[in-house]
Amino acid sequence: MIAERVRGSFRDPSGFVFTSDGTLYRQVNRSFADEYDACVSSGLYDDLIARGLLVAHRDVGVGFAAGPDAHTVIEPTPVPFISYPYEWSFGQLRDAALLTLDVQQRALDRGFVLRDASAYNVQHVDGRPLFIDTLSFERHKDGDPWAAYKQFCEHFLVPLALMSARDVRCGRLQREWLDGIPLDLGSALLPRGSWLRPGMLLHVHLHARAMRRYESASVAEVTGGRRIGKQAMLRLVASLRDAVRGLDWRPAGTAWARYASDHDYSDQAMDAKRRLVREYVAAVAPRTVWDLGGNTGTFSRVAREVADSVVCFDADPAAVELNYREVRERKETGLLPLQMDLMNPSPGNGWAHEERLSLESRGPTDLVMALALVHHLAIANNVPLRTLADWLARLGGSLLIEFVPKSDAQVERLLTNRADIFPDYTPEGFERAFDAAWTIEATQRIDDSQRTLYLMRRRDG
Amino acid sequence: MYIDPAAGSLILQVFIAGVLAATASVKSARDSVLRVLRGLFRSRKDK
Repeated sequence: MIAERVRGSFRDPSGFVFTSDGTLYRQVNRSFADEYDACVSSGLYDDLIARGLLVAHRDVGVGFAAGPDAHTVIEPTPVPFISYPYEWSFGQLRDAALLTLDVQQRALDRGFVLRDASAYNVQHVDGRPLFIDTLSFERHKDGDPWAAYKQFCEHFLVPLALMSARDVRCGRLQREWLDGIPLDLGSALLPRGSWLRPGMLLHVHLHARAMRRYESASVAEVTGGRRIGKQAMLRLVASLRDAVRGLDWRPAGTAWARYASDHDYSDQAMDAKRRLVREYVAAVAPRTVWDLGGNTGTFSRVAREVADSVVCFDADPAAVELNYREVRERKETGLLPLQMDLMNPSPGNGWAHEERLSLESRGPTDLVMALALVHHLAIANNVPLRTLADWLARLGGSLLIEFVPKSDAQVERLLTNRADIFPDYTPEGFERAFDAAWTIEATQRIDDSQRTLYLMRRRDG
Repeated sequence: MYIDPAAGSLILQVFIAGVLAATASVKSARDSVLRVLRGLFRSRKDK
């Protein structure tokens, strides 16, 4: 058994995550044995798992240990696709915040507390947020403040407040500040009106000022030894919950959010495209699909009829939010909407570029779908078709791709105010560019349109 | 994950705990007064 430690799992001395023979494990170190055993015997894990709040795991014993000082090893239920807060829509981040507070409250009810409140402790599975850090709990010492309060505010409250009150694109700041958007920055960027909202006043603005004022103060001296009882802690959680619930964002107004109902396809063409996509996906029979530029997920849902897991990426925050809301409302499983600008996809990030994985290193997937996408990359962003073909070949083994010719209204619009410097952007040029990396397995013009759908297989795949 | 709790954040929690406790007391007192008033109103109406 060759164990490989997950590179991003290095901060916590109580344990670490590793893979072995393709299975993910979490080692619990002896230094954390008492806390872990207390948590198991309290029934907290069972309660949270039964409610679908915490990832399920089985204890496989110390024989699976990947390092010294092991107390035991657990095998969590795999998460189909690891995503990060800077890839989530407003609603996904908000639901993750509420989950964290729910977990904290239930932990307090059983005499435990969350040691940390990182947004990276949450994943989205089957349309619901899921807490994945089994070792985040320790026994609550009555009177102690919540050590993770600041982290909760910086990971959840500040980005949500900025997205809600300033601009939803502020969510992208999370990619720069991996350990949360600093309170002082959040306080400075929020509109003045936010000072009138009790939640924002207490947990962001005064919090930022307290951080500055008491930077190197002794807590005991400043507070005069006053402590925080369990009821006060529960009230703090309730206050944070009210603050989060009070934040909202309406996905509207962007071109892409309207795209599903405001596109250039006739009904006949749309039906034909849906039929073709279904047929081609069925031919590949993928287990996993990445739908690039998938908008609100129309064709992701077609792919989901066959695949176990579909990730629908789009750059537009409104499209991703609408998709997520639909997933939640319809209780859809196996479909994960995520925000991703393909011209600037998530990089390897954090310490040694390895704490948070790049999009590419989270693959490959069985099938990549790139429907009505090529012209945006090749014409609007000047990406050479050959480069695009090579990059897509690094993402997946099969490719379902749509070529939209220059005569199409969408492409005409892109070229309206700029010179046509794309002589190779033709069906022949497209096929030539993709030929080095891909074999065309099937191709068909979409009825009642000028667009063509290709099914390709990677040459080395 | 291990995190370093910041002093300002811990101190603020003590302050917030006081604010929230006071708010809860005021709300509780207000609810009691409202209950009494509602009771009085109902009993006068019944007469």
